[in-house]
Amino acid sequence: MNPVSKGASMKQMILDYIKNEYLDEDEAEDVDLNENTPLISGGIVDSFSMVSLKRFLEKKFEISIPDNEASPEAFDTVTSIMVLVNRHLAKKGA
Amino acid sequence: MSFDYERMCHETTWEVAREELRYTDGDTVNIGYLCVDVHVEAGRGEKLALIHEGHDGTLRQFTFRDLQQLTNGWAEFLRKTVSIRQLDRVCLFLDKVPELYIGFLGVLKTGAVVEPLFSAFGEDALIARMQDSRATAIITQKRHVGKVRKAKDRLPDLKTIIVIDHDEDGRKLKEGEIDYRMMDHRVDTFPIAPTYPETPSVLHYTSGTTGAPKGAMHVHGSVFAQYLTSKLVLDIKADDIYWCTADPGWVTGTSYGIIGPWVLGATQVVLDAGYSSDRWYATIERHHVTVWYTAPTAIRMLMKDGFEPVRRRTLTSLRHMCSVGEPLNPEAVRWGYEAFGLWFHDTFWQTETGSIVITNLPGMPVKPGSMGRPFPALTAAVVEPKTGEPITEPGRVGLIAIRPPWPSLMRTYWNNTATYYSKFLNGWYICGDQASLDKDGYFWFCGRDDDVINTGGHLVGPFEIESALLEHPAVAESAAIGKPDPVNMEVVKAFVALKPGFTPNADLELDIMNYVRKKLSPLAMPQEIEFVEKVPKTRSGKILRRVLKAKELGQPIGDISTMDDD
Repeated sequence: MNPVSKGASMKQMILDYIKNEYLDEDEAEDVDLNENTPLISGGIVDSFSMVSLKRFLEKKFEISIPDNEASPEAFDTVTSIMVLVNRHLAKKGA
Repeated sequence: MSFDYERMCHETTWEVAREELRYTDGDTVNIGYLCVDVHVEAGRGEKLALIHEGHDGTLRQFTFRDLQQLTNGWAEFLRKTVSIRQLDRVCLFLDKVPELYIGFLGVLKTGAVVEPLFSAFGEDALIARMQDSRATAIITQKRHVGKVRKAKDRLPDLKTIIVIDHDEDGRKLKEGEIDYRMMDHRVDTFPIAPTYPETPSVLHYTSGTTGAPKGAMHVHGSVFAQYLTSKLVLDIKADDIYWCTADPGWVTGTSYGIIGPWVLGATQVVLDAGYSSDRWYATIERHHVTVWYTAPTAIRMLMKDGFEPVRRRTLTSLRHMCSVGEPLNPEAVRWGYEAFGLWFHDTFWQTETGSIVITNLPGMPVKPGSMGRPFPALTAAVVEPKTGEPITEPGRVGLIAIRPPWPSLMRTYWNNTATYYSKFLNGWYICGDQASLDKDGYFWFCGRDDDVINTGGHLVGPFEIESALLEHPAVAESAAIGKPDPVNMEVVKAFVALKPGFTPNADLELDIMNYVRKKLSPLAMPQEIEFVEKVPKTRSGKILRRVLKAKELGQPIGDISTMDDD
């Protein structure tokens, strides 16, 4: 089993990436970032920055996410991102 | 009654705006006063001015009386506590929070110049703009104060950092930082600075092909143009609920997201949340928005989600819709009509023009894909690039030109008058965009006349991106171009030659992307990086972006006799 497909480590990996890349040091201390924090609608990740987040996911999980699936809704929380990533991991494994 | 453009041109003059705003020669004029105090003095103090919805759905409402007391509070604080003097530059570096809209007018009441900065700007973008303007104060919030702190050492003129949401229980403020809670500072009267039509008011930075961003300086008299265009183009009336989706970090968000609609006494809706089609439709439905001013990129994103989310909502309050930022493609105009039963009216203008200059007016037959016709108080033409002579032949491409003066034309580029004067040719102001005219006098956009990248309705300078790329430890040479994109019109594509010892790979690509995003802004982040052996340049070292763009588009490369082929 691919270790990154384990829910807990995948969640932590994505959360860490968002914290390190999209939040300032000061900001990171103020924002309660968890798997259900709204990222796009909450203004933490904007639609342009979504491209780099998508690139990270593709690289880290060795998947390809079609542009039409990279919607603000699909990227709005770490939970919804994990659903998307897991779907593509399952496809890859099939 | 049919639309009579010629008659409208005859009847529409800037003098009409001056009369309707009760201005006579020699009077003072202050944007802050006209947006707020006029309405209170006329007995409309209890009218709702601002409905603010936060990303978590929290609603806050402000009447014009609230705005009067709170703008006075800002002005008194800035003058007495921060010692802001007339013509000092005061930056706003805030999300779309009420303090941004109200603070903007508070600064103007003091007679200082307000300099809005897009809240997603990174440290380098802040430094470039604030070093040039020599701003003495910045109003920001906890989320963004870290970036200001990092930039501060390179900003010797910056004396005061005002933080609007400092938490007493949180970290301590540093030297030069002040806590200001807007809602705790209501002031009934404030002696508004005696500003005149030519007194500087708003400083907006805009990107060019070369050099650092340029500060377009506007004056208080710009309000005459913003008022008249808001009235006649956006069709805003005092009883309208108006939603401008632009961020006041950019000129649309101030000219038409603060000034124009409030001078007309309308109620404005502000949604401080990231994009989601359902949230946008819910906002129109919840607040009964009647007039909507948005951008082609947003409209194309809404299109992607189809008609179903539109039909789930009751959007019958909408009566007029306009668009700005980049050309609105015919498919989007037609989709808008099918979705809402209304036409999106495309409008064209830029940071330098301060107000709409070419437009589709209410009632005017819309030709999907056309920019429309000149605003009736203006004379506009398509001119020969070399001579500035107007082109009358339909379909022939030239440069969009507007005959000065008009009230909201920038008065200079701050610290850069040579570039300012270079924008004029044969008595015309040259916008830098190419277009053609049809036989009915409608303008049709063809493209930029320079290398500036229009992404999501915002202009990004390739030079700024290339400079940021060069600061990355792996990058030896860089070039940036706008690559066509179905949603954003263009996105940034970078060409990068690496230093010895570095190998192109996905990790490095992502690292470079994020590096530029943090240095400049998400808009400037290359969405694609192509690693090359070397960047094409002339023998004198100038980057040949047109060669890269032609290759990207599969077009002929053209004359490359000046290219350095060593």
